[in-house]
Amino acid sequence: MAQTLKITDGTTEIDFLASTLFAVGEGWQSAESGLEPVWETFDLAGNITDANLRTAQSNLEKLFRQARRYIDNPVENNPVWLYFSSEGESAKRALVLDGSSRISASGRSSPLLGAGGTLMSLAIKRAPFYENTSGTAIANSGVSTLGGSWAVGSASGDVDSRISELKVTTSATVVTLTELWVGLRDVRNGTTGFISVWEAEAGVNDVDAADAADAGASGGNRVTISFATVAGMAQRFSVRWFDVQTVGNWDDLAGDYLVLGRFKLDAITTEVRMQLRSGWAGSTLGADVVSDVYFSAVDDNTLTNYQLHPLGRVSIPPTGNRDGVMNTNLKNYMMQIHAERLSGSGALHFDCLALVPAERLAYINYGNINAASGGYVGMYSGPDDLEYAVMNTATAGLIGQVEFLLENWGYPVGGGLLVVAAQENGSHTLNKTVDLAGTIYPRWRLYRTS
Amino acid sequence: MTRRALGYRHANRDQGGFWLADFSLQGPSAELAQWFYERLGFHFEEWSGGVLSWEGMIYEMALTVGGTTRVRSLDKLFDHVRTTYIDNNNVVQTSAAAEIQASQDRYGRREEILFLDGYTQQAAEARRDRHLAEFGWPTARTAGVLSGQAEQLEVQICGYGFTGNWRYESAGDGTTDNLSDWVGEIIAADCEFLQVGSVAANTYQVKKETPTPQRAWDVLKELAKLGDAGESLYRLYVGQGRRVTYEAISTTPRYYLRKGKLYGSAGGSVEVDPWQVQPGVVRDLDYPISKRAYQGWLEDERDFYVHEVEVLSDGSVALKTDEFEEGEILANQQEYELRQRAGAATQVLPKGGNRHVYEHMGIKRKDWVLMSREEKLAIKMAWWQKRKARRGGRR
Repeated sequence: MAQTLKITDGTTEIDFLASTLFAVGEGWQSAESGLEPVWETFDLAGNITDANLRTAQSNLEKLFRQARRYIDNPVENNPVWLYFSSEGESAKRALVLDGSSRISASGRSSPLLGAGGTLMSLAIKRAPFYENTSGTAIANSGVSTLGGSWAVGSASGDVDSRISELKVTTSATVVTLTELWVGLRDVRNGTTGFISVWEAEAGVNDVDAADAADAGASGGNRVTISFATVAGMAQRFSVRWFDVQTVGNWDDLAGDYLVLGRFKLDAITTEVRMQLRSGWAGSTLGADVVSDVYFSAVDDNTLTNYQLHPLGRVSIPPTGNRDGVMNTNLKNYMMQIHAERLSGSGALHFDCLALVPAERLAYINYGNINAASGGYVGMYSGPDDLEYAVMNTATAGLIGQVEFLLENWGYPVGGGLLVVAAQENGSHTLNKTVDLAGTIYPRWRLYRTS
Repeated sequence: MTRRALGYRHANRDQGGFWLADFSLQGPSAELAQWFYERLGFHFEEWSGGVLSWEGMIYEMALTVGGTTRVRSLDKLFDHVRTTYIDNNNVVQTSAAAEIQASQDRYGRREEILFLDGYTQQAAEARRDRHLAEFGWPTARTAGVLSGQAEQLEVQICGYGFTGNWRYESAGDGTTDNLSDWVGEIIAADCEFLQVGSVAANTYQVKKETPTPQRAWDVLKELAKLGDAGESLYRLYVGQGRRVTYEAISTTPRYYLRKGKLYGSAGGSVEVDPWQVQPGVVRDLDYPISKRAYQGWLEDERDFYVHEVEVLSDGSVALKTDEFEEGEILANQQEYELRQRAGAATQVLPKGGNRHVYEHMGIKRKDWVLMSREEKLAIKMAWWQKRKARRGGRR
């Protein structure tokens, strides 16, 4: 592909390699971007009539104005792009944020024109990264709503790709999901050994805790915490990584995670306070408190249904992962649940913990995800990284009133692992799945290599 | 509104819990005005890493348009007013309460008692009604005019613990009971926005009465200060879900400080999320003394108790104890950052009180106490420069 250097909003285009107005090569060098916007400065030489020069200069200012409006006002929908490709490189573009131009006073060139040619200085402020001019589709179906995993393939680009769109809808049995977590992590040490769901009954029970059969629980069992002897805060059960991953690949667990607990209270008069703790099996120091949360069936009687609740965020291993020192020993990593009953006489039924990667996290609440009724949730990230979410309902169509959180949202360069958790309003039902479909735009710092 | 909240920061206190947060907004004046007039008293949440990390109520807003600043504040709201007055016969009387139900329906009930002397009943009630008329709604009040000020809205959010002082204590019945029982009764009866969370049993006997009117949260704080028969220190705070926790302060370190960074685990190398840091015991692993503490209430000489945690907009964390002042923390942080950039030999401002600073700079203590944070910081930096110059750069 030939060299490209132009600015356009899709309608008006100014080519800086045209014979009439062209960038002087020795006047431009690519700037370091880091994570900040970049000012690209060019010298342009114009072999152009005065009238055409005035038109070109006016078009430049219109494009810069449009670029500023796009950045300042989310209602604007027409971005301005800087297209730049070196010799033989595939097309790529960067979002233009601002710009300015100036007729240079040099020799006979001046703003008075009339010299039959001119020199112009141009400064264009662009976003830190270039991206492909067209997106790449990604899709998967039948992903479990209880920590379902999807090993996402490697994407081109040398920084995280922009996830311009990710749509989620249900794929099995009619049920409307209203709350959704989607997390992405890097491959790191590997992903094949990663297990997102840690069954409570796989661990070790402590005070007033015992395994019990439960068809509504993942794996058919739960841990029942009766508070029969100790109602105050006490350690109730521990789950070690080697309780869950019994074969190997211990270090496939390394990463940052949002821990969701699937549990219920068995009476509407019961209120509990719960702590998630993180540590190591065999440590004499005890586990560290990660979070402290309250659950009251008095305030919310749907807590007598199994639901997913965020319990806290953990980094595994807490020591860091340098030099592979912790690789095998990661099997001793442990999470604990401590709990106390504040009121009532009921029990806490704990099913499992679900680990959702928190390195890149999306959270939706009050959504409407139901394929049967045409409902879906869409999460969007614009070229300027403006993020928003919408949901589609059967009756109202597309509406924007949905709570969302997109944190460090992007598609990892070398691929990785996507984990999903989702539930209906007021309960989480097993064996539900979702379909995911989206578009990513690979991003580049300078040159596009694929 | 994550992207739009400029300069967002929050603070948590050991007594109080979620305490204060603030940010500013810029945009069209019509939009800012809508915020100003519609969102006082709105619920506010901060989420970090997928977890609720702070919550509160929009408590005060200052809108600057055309150089004029107007303020609406729940601090100026009193929609339930009564008087206690000494009449012309030197008899203490209490008037009936006057209130504005519509204001209470929207913002909650915030009580005020006017203490008057030498008033007739008619005059006392007139005074009451006048006060209610002026403060029954959180109306906009002009704070000042300064030409050239940019249009913006400053928003201050307070944790729900602030609402604990909206009413006067009324749960006491004059009997003697367990301290923890009275804590729960006050929360249930006199704290409209709060719920009992975890109230640790404390059988210390207290008389459940307040001879002079006291606000509910003030009474609760005093009860927390009593501790228990075992001389444990207690903490009273409002957390997630507006639930009040009353519990003995754990002396087990919650965080570990190493090379100026905070970790959640003794062997950890992953820093804690600054937005989720809570007051508690911090163990300073850089401290050269490591031995059991036999004096005081902490376990180890390396430990200190953080009373307040402030997180600034850049994610930096200020840990405040009873002794530290904010300016000193900032000065130490600034010095640490300067050293890191310059790679110079270490020399930090000494920790501890400020007496050596203001005395050396020839400033009287009564003047020092009245100075702003910025003024103190500037003086400390100047003091440090003089000291460094005097010592020729030596430690």
